[in-house]
Amino acid sequence: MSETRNPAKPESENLPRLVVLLHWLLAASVFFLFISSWWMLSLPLPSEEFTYRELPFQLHKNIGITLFVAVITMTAMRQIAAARGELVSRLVAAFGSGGSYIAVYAADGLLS
Amino acid sequence: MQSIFMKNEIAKANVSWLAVMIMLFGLLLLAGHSNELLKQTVIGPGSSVDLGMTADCRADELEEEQLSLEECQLMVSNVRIILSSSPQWYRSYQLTLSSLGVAATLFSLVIAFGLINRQSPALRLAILSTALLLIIDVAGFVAAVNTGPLLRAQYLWSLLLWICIHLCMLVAVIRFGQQGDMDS
Repeated sequence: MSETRNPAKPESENLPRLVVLLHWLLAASVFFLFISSWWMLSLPLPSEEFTYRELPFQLHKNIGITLFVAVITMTAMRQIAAARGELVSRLVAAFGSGGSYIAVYAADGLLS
Repeated sequence: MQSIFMKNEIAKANVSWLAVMIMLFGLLLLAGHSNELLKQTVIGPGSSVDLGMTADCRADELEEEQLSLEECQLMVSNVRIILSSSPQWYRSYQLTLSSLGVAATLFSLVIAFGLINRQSPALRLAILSTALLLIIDVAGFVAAVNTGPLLRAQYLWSLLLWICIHLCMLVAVIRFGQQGDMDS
């Protein structure tokens, strides 16, 4: 009986490095989005003279959209992996991470 | 024999916990330094607030943002505080320091990965990276002390907090390093 995944090993040792890196990049982006959104909302309201909000808002949108696409892609990849094997545990993990990402988006949307 | 095994397991768990703390604080610090970089890029001398322009608070904008007229005017004052309290050298200094901070934080995150994966040189590199972060905090603190009182009030408290966090981390990393040397 061969096992494809060693349960004694930490999760990080079973995931490719690129996926681990992507997860941490997403986490860093979420932290940045929160901090920058709190700060940028204290900038003067936009007008012809005051353009302080332009760069931070555009950056916020760009990072947010990139994050959204990355999360969708990673969730889809998890679903594909779940279909291949260890269906129940991987589905729980996918719903868990998907749910947390949605919660982060909802919180960010409410706060900013 | 069993006690040595137990001791090793506890030491491994301690190092793992430390690595997790370095990672979580690292993420927060990375966001903080990146935001500072953005802040210094956006708010520069010669901009509209610096030229003495008054706030343009349209009623529809105020309603959309759920702001009072006074809050809208104070937002402009907020930018004016930063510009008035900053010495000439401060902006370029902060831009350089924040860039260094981003690089040092990324370095510490990579090192924390190494600690979790039990790579032996990582503990020595962790001392280096944490010391680097501490130096950057101290450099930021010294710069903030030399600015005006309004800017000092904004920066000093958070910088002091980061100095404490990195000092605690540095002591922990050095201690684990000493334990590792004694065990081997």
